[in-house]
Amino acid sequence: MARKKRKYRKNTTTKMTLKDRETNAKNALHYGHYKKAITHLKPLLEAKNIESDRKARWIEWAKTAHTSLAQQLFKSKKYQEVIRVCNSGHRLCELALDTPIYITSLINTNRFDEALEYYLQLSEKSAEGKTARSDLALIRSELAVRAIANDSKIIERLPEDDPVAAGFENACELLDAYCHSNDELVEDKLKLISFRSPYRDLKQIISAAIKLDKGSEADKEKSRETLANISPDSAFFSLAEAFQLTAMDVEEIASSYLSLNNNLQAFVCHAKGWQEEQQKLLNALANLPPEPGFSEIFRIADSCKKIQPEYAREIAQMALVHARVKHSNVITPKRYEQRFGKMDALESQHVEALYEILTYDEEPKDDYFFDPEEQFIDVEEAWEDYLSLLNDENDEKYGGMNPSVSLSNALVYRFFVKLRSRSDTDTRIRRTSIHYLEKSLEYDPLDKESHLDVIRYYLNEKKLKDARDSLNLALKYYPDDLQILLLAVEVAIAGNAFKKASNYAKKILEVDPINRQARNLLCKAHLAHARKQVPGGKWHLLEKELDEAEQWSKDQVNIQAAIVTLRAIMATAQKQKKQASEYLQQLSSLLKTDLNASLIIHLETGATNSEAINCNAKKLHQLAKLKWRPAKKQKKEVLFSFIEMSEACLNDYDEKVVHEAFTALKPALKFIDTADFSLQDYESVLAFWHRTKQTDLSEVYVEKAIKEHGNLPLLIYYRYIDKPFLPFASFSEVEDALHRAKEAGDSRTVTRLISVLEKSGPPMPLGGFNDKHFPDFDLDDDFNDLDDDLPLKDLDEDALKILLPELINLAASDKEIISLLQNVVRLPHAKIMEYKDIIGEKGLREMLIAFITKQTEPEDFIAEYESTKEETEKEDKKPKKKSFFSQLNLLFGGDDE
Amino acid sequence: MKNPYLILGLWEQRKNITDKLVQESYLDLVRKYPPDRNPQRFQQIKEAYEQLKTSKNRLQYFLFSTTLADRDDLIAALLPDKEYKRPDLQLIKRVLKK
Repeated sequence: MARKKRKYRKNTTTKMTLKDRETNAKNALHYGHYKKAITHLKPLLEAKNIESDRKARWIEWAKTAHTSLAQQLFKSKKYQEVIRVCNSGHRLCELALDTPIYITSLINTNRFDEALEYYLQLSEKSAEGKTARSDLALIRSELAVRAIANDSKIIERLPEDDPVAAGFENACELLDAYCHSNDELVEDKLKLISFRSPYRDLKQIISAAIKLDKGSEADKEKSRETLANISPDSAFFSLAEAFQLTAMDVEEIASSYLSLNNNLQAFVCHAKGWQEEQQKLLNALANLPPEPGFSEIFRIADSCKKIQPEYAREIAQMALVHARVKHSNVITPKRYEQRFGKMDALESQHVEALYEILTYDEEPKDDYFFDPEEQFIDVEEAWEDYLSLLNDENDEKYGGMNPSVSLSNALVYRFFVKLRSRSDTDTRIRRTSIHYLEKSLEYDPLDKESHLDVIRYYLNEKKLKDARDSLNLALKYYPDDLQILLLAVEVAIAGNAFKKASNYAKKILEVDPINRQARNLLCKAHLAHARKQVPGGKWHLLEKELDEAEQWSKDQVNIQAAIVTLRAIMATAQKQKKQASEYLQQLSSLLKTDLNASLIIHLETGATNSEAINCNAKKLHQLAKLKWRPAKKQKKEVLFSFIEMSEACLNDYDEKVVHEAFTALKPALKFIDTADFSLQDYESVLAFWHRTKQTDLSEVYVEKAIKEHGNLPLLIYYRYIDKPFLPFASFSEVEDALHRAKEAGDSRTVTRLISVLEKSGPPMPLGGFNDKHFPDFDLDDDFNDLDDDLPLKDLDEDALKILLPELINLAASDKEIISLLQNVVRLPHAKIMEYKDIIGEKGLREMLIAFITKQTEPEDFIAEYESTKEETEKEDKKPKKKSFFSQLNLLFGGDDE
Repeated sequence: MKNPYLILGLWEQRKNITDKLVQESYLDLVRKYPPDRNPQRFQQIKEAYEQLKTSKNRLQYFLFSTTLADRDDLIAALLPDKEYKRPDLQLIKRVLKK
């Protein structure tokens, strides 16, 4: 290959005058450009007929330039270059070679003979006091390290009294004693190393290493500090670094492992007791990202199955589950089996059950097509199969329920409850969940939280008998538990067992005399009992109960207000008008606004049925000098004070009583001045109307809010949430709001709007035919009745043939198919079951579709079915949901989305 | 690290684990990594302890954990921090050799 011609470069330096060169050399030296300085100084020093003063100055400059350049190179450990520069300096300006930098560089390039020669010269100089001792220290520790690591012959060539030679034997014995764990000897040997010895750093390192091995945590910490303090310039630094690494956590080692040289890697692995296979594994692990994917984990599991077989199987199984969730073919059950052997039935079902959990978690919950019930059934089935296998295996092994198996059953049922609550917008436990909780308590009756949840559920649902049964079961296991006793008080109050409630509350107060909740409940029990006395006019008993109630709640305004109102009712009934009005004045001053006072009067007259004793709300309003119809356009604060008051006391009253009270106050509540309402104000007011089921009020406020703040997704939610059925015309409005909420990343509103869409009829197939909001059509009539509710009027027959089967496939469950066959095809149930045995549930579905679209009789269908079975199965595998909607959108002229 | 057994250094003993063992290991680690000095590590240890402190919690972890191991889990499980073994003289010489 032809050599590339070097471009001619004009050498400007050749034509320079001596004066220019001198100036340039001086400047280069000044700015630390030592190479350049040497280039200029070289011709100067070779020049002839120069005054001796001038030449002496140049020699000094040349020495400085060479020394400084050598130092720079030494710092970057370029020892060969150091030697070259020093030699050139020596030739040019008689630079001394017996310098620490030069000698150390010779040692580091294994030129021991020369190094020793210069070292001995330097030692002599030092003895005569011509050089500093520190110059020698660096060389001596380098020689000491070389002597230990490479060549003890170095020692033979040194005088006996040389510190390196004198301390060598002791240093070797020290290391040997340390390696053989002879710590007593180590201590002795350490004592022999003086502060000025070239083995000083070795002494520190070995002292620290012993403490790392055997010392306390504080000692170990101190040792780490000592090792970290060994300077990187020290000849023993690599040893300090090695011991430092052994003191690190495994994770830290792994993160720096790849940057270590082979010797350090071997040192660390030896210290940690890792075998050769583990060393290889460490290399692989150090290359992994912090969160490796399932395929990487499977690979690691495969390579470590000999070292940790059980762990390898465990992580490989989890990798298999995750791969399946992500529909990856990288890890298949077959591949798992090839590498790790076959899973037993229980193990395999556990993997299946875990897969179902992950699939459930992975489903996008804000998707139209997400049906939590359907997904949950898959999880439930997988886990029930797992439990059944577990129980069978347990029966075979132990012949009865093993405690851990029993607990597994309980935990699985509790897990179902937890899983259901994840997809619920309503935080309260649902009916189906209670069934699981009760089942879990059969297996593990010592779970207090489950007891509490079950009791609370029945109490909320006002199923008092069930609540009492659950309570009795809970009290059997937790007779003195405060939480359960508090619920016992609530159950007793709900069942009008006031004495029992009072006894439970007193039991709590015996243990915890300042228990606020117990005091409140006790007070409520007395109040409730007091209300019962009003219609019968048992004033003595009423007085007694009110006194008791007052005793237990001195700081609660709503209870005080109720007590005062009840006293006013009693005084009015006894025709003590003056006293009644005094009580009512007390009520007005106790509550912040007239609206609040009015609310309490309505609630108490309703709750006590005081009409029976000729004392109604109107009369009390007159006595209290309150306007029967509170003024319109009241301030915002009045409404918020009303909401606060209502939140505090509404739970204490019957729903009917609350409804009547709100109806009476509606005119005032409708016309609150909303001029300075913020969006947040509207949100809290709307949420309150929604909670208290005040649809009329909600409508008024939501329209005002939309007028002021525009059709925000949240406001659209409140516009439709209380409507029993989402009109078809409003569907696109809600859908648009949902789209905007999704774009804004407002997941809460997204979930809420989906719940509104679920309330809609077709084309949303979510709830199925048994959804309470699904268009109500009579199955006895013709299927054409659907036209009234479905937008199918304008569709031609062909479109209907596409739509109806899709609708059946999407919306109807298997039970509903049977019901449709009974009602539409007029098949008896027994006949359907007979057909089901022949053609299965899928077949029944197709039979119904065939009847609707082609008027095929069931008998004919059965005959045809068997012959076309294979073809039908292929068709079934095709995705249907998407095709339905795209066809539907095409029919209605919508876009593809 | 995600695996509570590995966090508490109880992987090897997991077959014969007891509440007492879990508690002892937890307390040892809290002493080693106090919350004021290592808040993150302490939080991790505390969470691991919550997952394993009773047999019920341990069974729950076994049944429902779907977590994929991370790199630190793999390192801790496959390269256990065994008792420190002193190097031999040859290794020290190799490290000192440049």
